[in-house]
Amino acid sequence: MLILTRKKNEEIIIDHTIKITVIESTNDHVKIGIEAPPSVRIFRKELYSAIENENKIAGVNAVSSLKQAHLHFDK
Amino acid sequence: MKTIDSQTAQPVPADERQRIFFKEGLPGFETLTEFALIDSGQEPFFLLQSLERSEVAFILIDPFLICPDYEIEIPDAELIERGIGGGTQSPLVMVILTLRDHASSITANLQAPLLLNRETQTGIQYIINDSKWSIRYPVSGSGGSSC
Repeated sequence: MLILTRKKNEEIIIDHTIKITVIESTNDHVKIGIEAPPSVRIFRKELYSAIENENKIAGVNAVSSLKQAHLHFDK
Repeated sequence: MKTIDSQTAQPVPADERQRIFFKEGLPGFETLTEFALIDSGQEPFFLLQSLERSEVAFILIDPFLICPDYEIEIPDAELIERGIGGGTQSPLVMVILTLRDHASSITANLQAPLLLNRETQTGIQYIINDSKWSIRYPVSGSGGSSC
């Protein structure tokens, strides 16, 4: 991992196109500004992980559960 | 007849028109890009079956059936950039259902809908950064709530 020290309003450029700015830093909170092309998708890691986990649960044994699901849905 | 190897007991007839290409895969399954959107045989559910790993399949439903107020807004530029903006019709919106405990609990992932373009046969899972829509919206089992 590359570790850089930045002060407020200082920036980092990644791959010529992605600009990261430290907007504010107070105690254990850091506010970060990100400018990137629309093709770059940016998520909070915990959100992406939550979607990954949900997909992994949803994507296996789906068919074997479907018949039971039908009964519940049509209650 | 060419068939799809699926979780269902009987092979599902493969139809080229059912193919959906997920260029980016899905979170958690980033390497799987080839799927088929097939009728589950049980309305109102559809099945998104991986053509690369037979044990991977997702149960899909039209989100408006379970949440009439559901809405998502995606810039046209992003749809085009991600390869599902072509064609004459809006992409089909579906959400993935998660069945837990032998289907006694069913939730819908409203925060990461699938956008499917049937004309260009491409799809993406679109993650909504706003947490207005739940990843585990209760469909049955643990009591309903308004969305």
